[in-house]
Amino acid sequence: MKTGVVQEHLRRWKQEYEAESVLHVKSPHDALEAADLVMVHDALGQAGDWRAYLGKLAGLARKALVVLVPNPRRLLSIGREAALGSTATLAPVLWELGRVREHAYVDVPWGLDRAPASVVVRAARSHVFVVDVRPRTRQARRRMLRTA
Amino acid sequence: MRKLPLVTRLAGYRVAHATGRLQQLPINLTVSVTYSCPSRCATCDIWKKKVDDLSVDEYGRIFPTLRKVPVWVTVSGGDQFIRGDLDEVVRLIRTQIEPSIVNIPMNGVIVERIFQLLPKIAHNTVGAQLVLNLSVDEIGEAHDRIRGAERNFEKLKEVAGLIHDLKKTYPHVVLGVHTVISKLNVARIPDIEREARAIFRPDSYIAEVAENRVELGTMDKDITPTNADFRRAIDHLRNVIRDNRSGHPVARLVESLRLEYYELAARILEEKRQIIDCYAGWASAHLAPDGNVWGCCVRAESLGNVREHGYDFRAVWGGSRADAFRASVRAHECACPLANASYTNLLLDAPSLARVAANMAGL
Repeated sequence: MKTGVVQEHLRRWKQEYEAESVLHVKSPHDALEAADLVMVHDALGQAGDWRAYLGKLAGLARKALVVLVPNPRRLLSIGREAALGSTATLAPVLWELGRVREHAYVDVPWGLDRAPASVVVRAARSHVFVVDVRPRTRQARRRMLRTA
Repeated sequence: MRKLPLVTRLAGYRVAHATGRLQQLPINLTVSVTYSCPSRCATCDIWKKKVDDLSVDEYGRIFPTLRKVPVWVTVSGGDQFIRGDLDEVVRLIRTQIEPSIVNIPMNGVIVERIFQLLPKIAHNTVGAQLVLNLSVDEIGEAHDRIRGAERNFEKLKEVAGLIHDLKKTYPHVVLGVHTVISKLNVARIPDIEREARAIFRPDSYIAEVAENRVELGTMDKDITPTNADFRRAIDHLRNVIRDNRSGHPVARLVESLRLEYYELAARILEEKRQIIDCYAGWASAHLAPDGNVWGCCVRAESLGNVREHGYDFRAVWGGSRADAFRASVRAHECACPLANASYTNLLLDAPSLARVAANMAGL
């Protein structure tokens, strides 16, 4: 996905989650470290056990995990990447990691970005999920701090 | 097993109702998973009942005997979220009964458990429509007083937020708001309806009258509003529907059914008789938490207990007590505006269906 397309979203997410640090992960071989916001760019298809890999990345995220995957509903989308990127496959795993606050279709070809939603879904190259991994209650926050 | 087309099934109920023969399993099933409830509602004492709830394993033996006939399953309580295995019960409903609609009324009290289970329930119902109806009887602290639960209204807002988030990844999820119209809130229904819509942004809003039900332990409670007050409240709700007609055919059908239901409920209260034939015991049924099968929750008369019949729902449904219940309903020995059964009854009443169709067409 083009970097420019994600920058606008990223600015908003950093603001919403008050994220001071961002870790971009583009390959399972990338060096990993904890960050407020962890963003995974199309890297799941390269990971052997993508569920475990996502769990590991969620563990590094202090506030939010952003998962960007190819859009399987795009016209002519095929292959493992497409199957892996389906909402039906990803949603139960992401909801195990936290609260999925956002799901959007992005990287839409020029001229179609203002088209009706049904067209955008077929045209977008990627879709993105934002998972809020912050503990929901004060009690859970205290428990997490004690564990840390 | 392949399902019969709905229209064939409906015709079968009419034949069975008229002749007392050719009984079929119900298309509308309510599964009450527990009576336990942390709320102390002014309109409900169900929490006082203590029984041995059916286990997941027991449900796993009962549901296959329903032969995938029910198309609409309501999972009710008590507070269903008291059960940590609710997601498993719902999974069994989805896989073993395969209904088109799973409806869960929610009080929104046990928030942590709801946050834990609701995403799993959403996942387990993919392929059906999951309707999550939040119980909203007033606004703010007035709601908490009626429901007898501290901070309940604030918790409902949190739960509504969760459901709105779930809809982003599970488009089959529908958020509803449900108000019980009682003496305690009937004068404020227009305000409650307006504010609830603004606060919770539901996909649908429905109201039902508070009535004396054996199931709820409310036979002696003075909660039902006067006919005149109820008529005023539902006139408002009908006007809201008429003024905001949807362009979507399914939503329009639901609105048309609702218009018809509100009028039916008002007339039943006013005339105290079955305005149209009731099919509780034919097309709709209720499975209580202890395994008792009822024709409806208003009378809550046991037709038999699945635990005593090898967990075979059909054995109870085809038994002599079920026949006696049906004979009583057919003889119009009871009348009530229970919403759940009324919707099925409307589908089975030709003049009502004609009015619904005309209403949909804007006539």
